[in-house]
Amino acid sequence: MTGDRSTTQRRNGILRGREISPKRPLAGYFAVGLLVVAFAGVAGLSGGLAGVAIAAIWYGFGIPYAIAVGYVLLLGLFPDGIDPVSFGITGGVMVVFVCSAATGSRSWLRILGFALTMIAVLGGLAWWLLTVWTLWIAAGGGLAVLGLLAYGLHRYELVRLGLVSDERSASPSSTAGVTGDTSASRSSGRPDVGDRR
Amino acid sequence: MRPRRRAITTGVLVVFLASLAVVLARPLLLAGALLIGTWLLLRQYRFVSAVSTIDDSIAVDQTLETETVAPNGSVPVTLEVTVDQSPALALEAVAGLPVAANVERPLTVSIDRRERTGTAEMSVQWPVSGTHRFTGASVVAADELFSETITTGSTPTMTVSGYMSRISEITAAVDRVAVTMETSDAYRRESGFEPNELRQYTWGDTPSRIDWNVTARLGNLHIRDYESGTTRRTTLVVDHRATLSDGGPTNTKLDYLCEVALATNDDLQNAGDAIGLLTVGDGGLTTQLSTRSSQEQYETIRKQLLSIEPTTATDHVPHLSIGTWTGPERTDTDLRRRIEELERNEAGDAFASTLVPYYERQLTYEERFSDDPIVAAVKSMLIQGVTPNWTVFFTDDSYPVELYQAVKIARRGSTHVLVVLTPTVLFETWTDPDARTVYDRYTAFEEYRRSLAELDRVDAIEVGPTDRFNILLASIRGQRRRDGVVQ
Repeated sequence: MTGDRSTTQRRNGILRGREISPKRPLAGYFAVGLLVVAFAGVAGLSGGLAGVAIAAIWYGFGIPYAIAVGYVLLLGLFPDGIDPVSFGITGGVMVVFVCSAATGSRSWLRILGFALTMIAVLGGLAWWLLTVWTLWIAAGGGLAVLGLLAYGLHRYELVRLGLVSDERSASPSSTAGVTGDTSASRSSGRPDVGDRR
Repeated sequence: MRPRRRAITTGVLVVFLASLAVVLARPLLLAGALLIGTWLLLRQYRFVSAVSTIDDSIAVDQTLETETVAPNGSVPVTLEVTVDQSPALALEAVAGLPVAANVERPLTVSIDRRERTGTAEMSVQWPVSGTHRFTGASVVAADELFSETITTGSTPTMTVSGYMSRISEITAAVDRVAVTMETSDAYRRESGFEPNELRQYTWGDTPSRIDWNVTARLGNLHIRDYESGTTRRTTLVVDHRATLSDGGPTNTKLDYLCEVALATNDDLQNAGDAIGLLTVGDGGLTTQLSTRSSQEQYETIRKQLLSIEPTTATDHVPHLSIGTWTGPERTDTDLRRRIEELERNEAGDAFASTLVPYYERQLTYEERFSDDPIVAAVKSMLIQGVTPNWTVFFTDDSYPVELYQAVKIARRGSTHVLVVLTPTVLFETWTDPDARTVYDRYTAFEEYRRSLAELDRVDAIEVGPTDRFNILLASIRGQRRRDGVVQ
């Protein structure tokens, strides 16, 4: 039958394959400027050059890559280990850098609060694990908590949007003489009961 | 929520940096990994917040230009998406077209972050008969890291039917014809029609014929055909004389009758019965198609009925109007019996000698109507040896005596006769309707219809505009109230 396409195929709209270019808010420029200054302050000229490199990475690839490159460069700037003051300054600037992503939203204050809470939780956890256990346990524990938080947010979204169906009470139904996709329930692309026809 | 490519690569970066921290034994890199992870959580939280706002404010409307269409017909479908405030995410809505809809590409509307509304329209072809319900439109909200699909919006229903009437009022008449002629599937199942072979559903089949048990078992829509012991033959006699042009410019008497005739043709096609057609204009027979049950025959009759126009009256033939209808005439048998009685009992009597020639003249009564196109058409049908099980007349009450005679003649060659009648009184313009006159004329029509229906093996049903009928009823009630006040 012509025109017979599955709902799942139709849900794969153009947006799925389209790259949406990231926005660079004004706060991002401020944060990256602050970062260049901070790096120059703690490591001199080489720190300033590292800061410029981070700014370039940020502009080209975004915040995550800039942070990753920034910390790798810090290893090079402080090969014998970073002192607590420098760590605090660069860490603080990186936090500002991360929090710049909260701006531009209508509920930026709530998002900022969420980000700071997450930083406190993850930072505190990693610090505690490092002092009590070993580095690899701290790394594993940090990644596990990150994963749990991400999954928790995913579940929260499903509940918030009403995308969670009680599959135990759902049963396949059909209406004689009426064709059509009966999966009128909201779906996040996962096959739900209504899709199984 | 679905992570997009950038979110996945960022996640990989977090794991890589944490692993590098362990491998190089440098906790500083773990701090970087956790900061990137926090950034990802922040963006996730921000996405959830944005998509929740969109979910609360979005309105999606899927509208059909018409909700009924003939098989393979096309209907424009409009998808309109509106959000209360500019969305923080890019949106793309995809219409929830039923699987039976035939489209070149999905019907989509894209809304950018600065827009608040978007509309798209597309012509959708409907090749499969049945009732097809839309699902809610799938709205994909996305930023550069995540995407989510929300199914929302109106879910209209499209009915694709082999028979499409543009006059909604005839449904009851169509149903009555189907019940009278026993063409309905329910009847066939319940009254001795044997289930025949199974076959796959094809367009044009009515959904009610789908065998759901077999469909469930085989996975595809299947139809079960029924067959009777004998093949039924039906001849439609459609009157399209000048009097059938009465009524408004869009819905004349002929329009109503043709719609019922088209539906009957479709019913007979579904039942696999043989069908023939006689069309009668003012000059006589205009079309004669002998009874056959081929697909080509149903299509030919359908085209003929769709193109039929009222003819113009060439000569004014005086005829008795419905108001002068005095009841059925004596039959030839009655007349012969009466003549025999007179000749036997009162031979030579003046009374008998006066009456017998009168009755003998009456015996040639039928000949009086030989010039009437409908009578002539039916006679020619019988002369050619066409003896349908059903003869169905589609005509009005302009020539009541002639029609009565034609029905009686048709009854000789048919097992059953059905007369679908339009009352002229309901198609006339009532400038200042005298309720009593109109009522009397309608009553005369109803009496005439009953007199036809009282004939053995004859049924007669009325088809006409219900709005005019309701006006007539209201006018009669008003007249009665006024009469009550005077009295």
